[in-house]
Amino acid sequence: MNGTTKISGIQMFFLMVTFNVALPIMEIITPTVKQAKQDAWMAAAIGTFVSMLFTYIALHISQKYPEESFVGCLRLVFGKFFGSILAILYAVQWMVVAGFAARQTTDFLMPALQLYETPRGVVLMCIFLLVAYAAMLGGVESIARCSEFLGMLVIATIALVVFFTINVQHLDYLLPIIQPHLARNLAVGSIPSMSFLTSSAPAMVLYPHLSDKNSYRTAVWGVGASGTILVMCTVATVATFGANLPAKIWNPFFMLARYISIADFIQNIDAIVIVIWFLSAFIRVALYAWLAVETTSDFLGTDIKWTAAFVCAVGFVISVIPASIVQSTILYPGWIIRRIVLPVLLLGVPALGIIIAYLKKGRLPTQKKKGRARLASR
Amino acid sequence: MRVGRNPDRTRTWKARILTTASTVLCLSFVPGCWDMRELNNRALVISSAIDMTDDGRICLTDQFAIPSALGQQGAGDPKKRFYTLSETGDTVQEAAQVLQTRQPRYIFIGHRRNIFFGEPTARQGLAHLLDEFTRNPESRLRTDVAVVDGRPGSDALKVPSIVEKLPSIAALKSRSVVGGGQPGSAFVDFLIASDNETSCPTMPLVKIVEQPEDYVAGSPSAQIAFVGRAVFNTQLKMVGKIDYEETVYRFWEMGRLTHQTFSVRLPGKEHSVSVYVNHMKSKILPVIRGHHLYVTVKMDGDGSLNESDASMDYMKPEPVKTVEDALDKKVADSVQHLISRVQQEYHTDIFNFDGATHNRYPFLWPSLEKEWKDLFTDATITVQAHVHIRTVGQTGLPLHHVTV
Repeated sequence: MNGTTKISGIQMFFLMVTFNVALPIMEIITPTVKQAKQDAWMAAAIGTFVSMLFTYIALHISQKYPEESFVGCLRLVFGKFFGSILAILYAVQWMVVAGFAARQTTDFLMPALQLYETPRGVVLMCIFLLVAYAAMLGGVESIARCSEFLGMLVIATIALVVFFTINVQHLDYLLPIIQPHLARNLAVGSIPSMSFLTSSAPAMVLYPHLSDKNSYRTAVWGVGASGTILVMCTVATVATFGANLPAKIWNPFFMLARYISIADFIQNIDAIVIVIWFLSAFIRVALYAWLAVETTSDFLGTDIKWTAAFVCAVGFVISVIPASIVQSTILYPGWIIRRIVLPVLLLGVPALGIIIAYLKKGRLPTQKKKGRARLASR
Repeated sequence: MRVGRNPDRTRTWKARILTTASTVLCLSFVPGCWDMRELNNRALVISSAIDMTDDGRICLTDQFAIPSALGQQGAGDPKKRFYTLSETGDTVQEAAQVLQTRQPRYIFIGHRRNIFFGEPTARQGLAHLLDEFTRNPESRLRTDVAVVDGRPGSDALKVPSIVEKLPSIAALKSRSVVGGGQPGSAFVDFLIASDNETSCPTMPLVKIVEQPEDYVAGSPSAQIAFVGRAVFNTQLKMVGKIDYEETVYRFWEMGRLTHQTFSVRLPGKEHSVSVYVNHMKSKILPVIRGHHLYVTVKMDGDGSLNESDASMDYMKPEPVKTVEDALDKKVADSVQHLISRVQQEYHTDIFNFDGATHNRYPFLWPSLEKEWKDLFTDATITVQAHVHIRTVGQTGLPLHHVTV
């Protein structure tokens, strides 16, 4: 399968931005503010930096095995047995997270749009039918093309919300910067943003599909850009609602969008904001599903269409399992993602992988040399 | 050739069936019938009022817009642009549910602009009343709140506005016009202050004013006037009021006031001047020494002298200096007096001293926080005010003859 579909560097950038913007903005601000109070923006910035670092590390591993797919890479680095176990873990985790991402999206979307009568299952089914269509027919190429367009739209919308609320923002709510236990609060407070933004393994799956392998850094910058947007949104939210209220609101940034009122004329624009936000959330679900499809079909050698159908069916079933928003949005990210997935799959494996890869292949990767030579020749 | 075409044809047919099926499937979702609510079937709530009944139930009053009257060109009768309905219940939503039985259209609170509480209700405490206005997804935080001075909140909903089509918009706008900040921000300001152990929240205080001298065609008129702020304690019970002038000084002290006209009597002479002040700034400098809090408040602003009944030549610097000094003294004394009154009578920090102290002593703050009420009550306050008079109007000496 590898190499049949190609994405460009700029598409990679926007894919990462769109992938990392929507759900995080809705879900990170609350736990971050809860921990770090008025310094939440700093915690988010630290989380972003760590995410960028680990995304870079992961891509560095891929770069050492430029001809290999993600599964091949894992097998070469960790050995056939452990590599296979890791591949299964990643595939399963992505199926689960696709389901939960879809569920979290509808949990926010439906009350916000006041869809009380609409059955949730139907909305989720529509999402997964479309995901299956995207994964079967276009693969990552179609998702990347979509995000290239949607990414700009999402960035513009979010920037608009931040800009339109300037008249109600009081930057003194961000003071004092120093607080007791600052270091601990920042460290703990950065975990939510880290758990959402770290795109180490997804970047490794995407790497073989890059048309120009030297443009892999765009993925790191994509994570950085979405982190910057997140920091901006955290500042705007805390400056509007203070250091305490956002910790109690499910969705403080959406609350902010609902709060917009310019000259008593531009207001109630949240309906537009949420629709554009939903498009970005959809990209997240679609990319997770595609990652699961790609890894599974690569691992088992199955047909991509049937794998896509299977993954989407599993994702749909998982998405209807949680009984309430508490399970989907608090318990799952709190217990599974932050305690298991983040330290092991998102941070641990790339960190261990890069060490092993260096030991196995020596210091100077061939690709990097080439890249430098090319740059020098210009 | 025919044999060659066959596989193509079957593929085309397959594709056609698939396309048709998916189109039909998609179309069936497009109407979104599940949650369809026509605008014509919604009753728009523009204001609500909450009062407690004698038997401890919640009385909800909603003010609805009459859409046909709003669309009319020209004046129309102000009293015929809206109507109010009241019901009681144990919760706000229960009252709303009962109210819905008399309201043929679906009640929609997404455009609510104002929430009024009666003074007796505010004095009993608002803690158990506010949740509906923040938790309900249809409800917006961008709304103003106010306490109605000495009367039930529902009375404020029955006051028509002569100029505004929706009477509640009038209340919203006039608060902003007198320098009270962005319209619709009062509720969030209240919530932020109330979610804090040390600072005490305040709410705009409105009064229904009837001036017999007013002339309004056809009817005796009443307006909703801003008369100050209702002061709450940390349990969200109203403990007192500060009047309009005190509110102005407090807003200036907190750096939230945009503009205001101050009048001052000149010392030793029976003359008064009015100065329009804007670009108002304030700095709160707290110092902790031992177990005592010292606060210095520095306030300044730019003034334009717009009225003076004295025969003074404001083309010379001395008279301007006289006015500046008199005004500075008045502002400093008034703020000082206001703060000490609140310290002695209410013991509630409504001046953001806690925020300033928190900023200055971030590490000491957790221990200060616990005894903040005592620290605030005993604090020594110094106020320094200075208004820079930048312009003095169109004349130096009054154009008319003034006998002194």
